[in-house]
Amino acid sequence: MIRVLAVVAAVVLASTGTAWAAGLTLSTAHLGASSVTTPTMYPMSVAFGNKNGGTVGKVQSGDTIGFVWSQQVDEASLCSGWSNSSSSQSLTLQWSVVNGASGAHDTLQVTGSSSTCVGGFHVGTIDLGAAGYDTSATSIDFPTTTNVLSVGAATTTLTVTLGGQVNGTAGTVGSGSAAIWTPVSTIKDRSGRACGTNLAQSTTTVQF
Amino acid sequence: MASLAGLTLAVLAWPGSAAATAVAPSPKQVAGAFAATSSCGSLSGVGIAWTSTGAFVTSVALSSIPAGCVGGKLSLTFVGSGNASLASAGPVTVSGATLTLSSLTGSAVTTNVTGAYVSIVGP
Repeated sequence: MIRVLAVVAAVVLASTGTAWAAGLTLSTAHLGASSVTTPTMYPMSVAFGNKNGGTVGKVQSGDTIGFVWSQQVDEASLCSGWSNSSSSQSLTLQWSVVNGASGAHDTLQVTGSSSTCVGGFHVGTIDLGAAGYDTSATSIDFPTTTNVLSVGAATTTLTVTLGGQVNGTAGTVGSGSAAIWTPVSTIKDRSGRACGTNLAQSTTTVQF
Repeated sequence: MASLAGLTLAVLAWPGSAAATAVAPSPKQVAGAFAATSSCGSLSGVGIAWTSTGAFVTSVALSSIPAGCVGGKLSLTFVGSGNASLASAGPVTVSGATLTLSSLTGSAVTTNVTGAYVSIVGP
């Protein structure tokens, strides 16, 4: 009953001229919205550890870097010789601090090769957020760096401990920006989802 | 009782009725009309990549924004459990197929994010 009367009232309002709609003008005729898929497999964090007793802001053997992916990594996508049948792996492989050209930030990356990881060890590159970690034109190399992978129930952690420092000249950085880890985009989780172009940034602005 | 309320509504709405003397609506004019809208393009294919700092999303890179949306204002909302809003960004003018949103309001812990909504007004 109420519905019928309300409809009648609306018709009257629209037809008597006392309640008149001349038109409606929109500022735009384009209105769109959609749900979109958010990342599932991505780099969660990158964090630096200073060797006990070491100089803060200066890279040296014993310093550590921790990488965390959001999912259980397909280990073979990281290193061809690794298998998901084991939840932990260890590898000795050279990492280097590479001097940034023309004042660009120095970077940290894998520079060694291993027969275990044919095609490379696909961790990615870390922009260290400052130019002063390597004050020479040549890279600071760490040929006996240990790389320990631990696959947890939901995430994967890689702990890198730099070792055997040679070449280059390490400087001490007093201030800088957050480090940015750009992982190899093709690293996959165990459901085949790639890491894509997601990035992780450190919470620290001075590394090591 | 409901019938009485309905009857009163009808009387108030009917032209020439004296029963409306006790009512002083303001404004006394109402308007309604229909205007068609359309989307500038399909937004379901927009890609999201984010930068995680600590546990939080601190920057978002969008890709595959339809060409027809260039010039429109884009907003993004991350949602979590129960579709609750966690953080949002924009509106920001779309200038091309990609867009970076580096200023988010709210806190989106990456592991709590279950989805996101993108909306564009215009162009």
